[in-house]
Amino acid sequence: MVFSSVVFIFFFLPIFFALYFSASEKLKSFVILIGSYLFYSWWRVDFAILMLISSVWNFYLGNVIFKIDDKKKRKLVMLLVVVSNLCLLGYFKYFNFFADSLAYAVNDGQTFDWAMYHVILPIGISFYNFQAISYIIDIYRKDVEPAPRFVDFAAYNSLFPQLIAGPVLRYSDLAGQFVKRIHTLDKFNYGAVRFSTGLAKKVLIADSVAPIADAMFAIPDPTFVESWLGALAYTVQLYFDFSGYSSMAIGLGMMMGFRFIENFDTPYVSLSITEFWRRWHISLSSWLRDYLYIPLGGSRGSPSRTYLNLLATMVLGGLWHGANWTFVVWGFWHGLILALERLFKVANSTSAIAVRWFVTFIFIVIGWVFFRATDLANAFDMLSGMFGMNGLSLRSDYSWQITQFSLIFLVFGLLLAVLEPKLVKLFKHRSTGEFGNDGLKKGYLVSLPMAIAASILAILAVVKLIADSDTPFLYFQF
Amino acid sequence: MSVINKLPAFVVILMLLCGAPLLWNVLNSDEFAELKISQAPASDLVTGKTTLKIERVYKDIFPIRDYSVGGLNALSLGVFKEVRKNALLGEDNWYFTAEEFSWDKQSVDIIEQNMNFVQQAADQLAEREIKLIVALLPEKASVYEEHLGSIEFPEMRRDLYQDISAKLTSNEHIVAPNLFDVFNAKKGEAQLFLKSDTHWTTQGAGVTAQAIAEQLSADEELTRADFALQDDAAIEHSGDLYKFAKLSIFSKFVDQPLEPISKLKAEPLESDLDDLFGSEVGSEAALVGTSYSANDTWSFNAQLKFHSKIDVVNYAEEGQGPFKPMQSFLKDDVLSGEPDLKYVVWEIPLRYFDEKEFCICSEE
Repeated sequence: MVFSSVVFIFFFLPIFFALYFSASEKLKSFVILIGSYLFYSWWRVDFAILMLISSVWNFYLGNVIFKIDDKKKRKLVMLLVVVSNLCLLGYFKYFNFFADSLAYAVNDGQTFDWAMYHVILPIGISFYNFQAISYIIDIYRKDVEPAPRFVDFAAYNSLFPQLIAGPVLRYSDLAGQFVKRIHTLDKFNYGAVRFSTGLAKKVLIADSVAPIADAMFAIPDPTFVESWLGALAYTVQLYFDFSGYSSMAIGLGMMMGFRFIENFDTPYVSLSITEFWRRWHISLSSWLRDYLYIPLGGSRGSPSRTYLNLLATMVLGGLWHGANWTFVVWGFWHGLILALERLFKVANSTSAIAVRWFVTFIFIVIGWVFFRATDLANAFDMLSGMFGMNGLSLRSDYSWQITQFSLIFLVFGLLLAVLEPKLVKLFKHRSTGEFGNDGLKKGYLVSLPMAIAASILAILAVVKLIADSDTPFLYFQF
Repeated sequence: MSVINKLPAFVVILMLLCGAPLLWNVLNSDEFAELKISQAPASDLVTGKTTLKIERVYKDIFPIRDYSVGGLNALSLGVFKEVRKNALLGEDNWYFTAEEFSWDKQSVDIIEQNMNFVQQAADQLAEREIKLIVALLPEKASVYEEHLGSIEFPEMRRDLYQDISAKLTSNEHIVAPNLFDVFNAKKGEAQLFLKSDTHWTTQGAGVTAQAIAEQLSADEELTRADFALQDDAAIEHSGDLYKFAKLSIFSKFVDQPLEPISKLKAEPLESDLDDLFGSEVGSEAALVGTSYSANDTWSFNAQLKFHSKIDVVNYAEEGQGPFKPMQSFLKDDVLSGEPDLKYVVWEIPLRYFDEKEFCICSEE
């Protein structure tokens, strides 16, 4: 089930919260665990069992690693566990991709006999797998002790608010909260605000512009106007869909007393790609930094080695998003720009802000074309259109698909994404990072305009989601 | 902090409190009972098929669903003069299906695959010495382009009728009268398509029946029978395209008029006594197609019988497109049951040629 569905809001959540708030502090983790597995099993029971096996495996071996004194042995076991997790991810996520690519390269595109069986991608595997890896590595580094109870680790690894589309949580951030967390009406209220505004972002904006993106990306040889409409629509759709989902996840966590890290910080105001990656999918970029970029050497080596590390991290980060060459190219595109920004030292420049914002935004939009395209041919088709190689105007064959309704939301979405920092100030919205581990000192206060706006948005969003057919979150299958 | 600052919490709590009565509503609904959850195979539970069905029930019988849909549609139609999806609104309440406008990267391939199937069907019938007459129906949007208003007719589809028609008639076993020309010639005399529906009017079915009958009339060896065309029932019809623009309680804000339809039926006239002792002949003509033919609201088969003077047996099916009914018809047991068949009239609305949902396409 997805968050933007009546069965989640009006069936699962009421039952879950009724049980959760009825349970004692000791039993709350059990309720979370059972609720999360029921949430996952709603999709498929067999893959819920897979997740359970993964949790048992990582919990048990996390304890083993913690007890090993010898550094070399500890490292070896850690690497084996990490590799085993990557193998699990590799099989379920990349087997089909590998088989198809190999068949295309050496077998004239004919599927090999050993690859006839299509491997189903378990939803959320990228997220719970990465969380398990961070748990193992953090134990190895002695940054965190193993979870005292299996139920706490399993609940963390399957925590339904972030299970299928993030944020990528670290056990070290949540360990203390599993032991003790405070539930107050103010905290619940803040969570309700985040859930409501997230739902509105997804249902009212993302879903309203999605038809433009879907239509334009399906056009053969799109013109300048058609391709830019599609690219911009997807730029808006992806941000509001994903940040909306993250906001809902943070809100749900807060309603349960957890404080998750923020996953987005107005990324479309970025003045460089370097800055963009400090604002977009923050949980993933920081994970890649801590567990991939830095172990590869980070920026500690020569400049050329640093650029290589950046490229490798971003390419692998791209591949994490999906088993398609388009994601590899997307990652390479961002890695290349990051390296060039570092080379020319432009990331932190303070001059020509408007120009830098515009150029950065164009780079982002071009990247999203690869992200959205079904394959490289589709991506290059779109890019050809964006550079005017297929003519300029919106053709009658496709203009009928651009409704005024969706166009208004496209313009609105673009403006909202760019003006978001001002709106945050206007509504006195606070991020979870401002509350600290215990928000009681500052209070999870919600301003009056924010409270009214969130309430209205919640009602509008629920009305629209009931009217619309279900649309899955874009990160559903990661 | 005042109570209003906590309004979001109360709104969410109120939504959650709706959970219990909604669950009760679902569990006591006919739709849920029809699922027969207790009898569902375990594999359906494991693979999520059961939960998907439950989710659909939740969605379909949600109490304010109709009002939500109606409200959004009223907003879209009233303010933007647009249907939210799957249909387009021209001027003067002319609705058009989006299927007559769609074109994407897969369209050419889908047309080719469906065309291949049509050719195969024609050849298969020819082996049994059955002639195929294809009633290729033109698109409403192309016949009534003047009612599109600000919507532009897709240039990519402007020559589609002629292209498909030429491909059909290149097969020696296919006869396909040019109904595009017929409709354009006759539309001044009567409205041939319904405004609020994808289907034709009784008059549209009638001009098609006459065009097909001309082809059948050329064969003098067919057994003729006289039919009388009689009024059946007059109804006030709500078009199928209104389903994409349901208004519920908001209908007073947007005009969605019903359209009068006079149904017809074809009654065989009394035959001569001599015929009672003559040899019995089975059906010599069959009709295969879509709801245009299967649904007697449009009276197509009745008018076909009347104009061709042949007792046409109807194998058309609703909701399957034009190709699957032919696929079913070509099965041995069906054709064997019609040993006297000499003609098959296959009604194919043009727009189905590039529709993936109804394509006889190979799975890759």
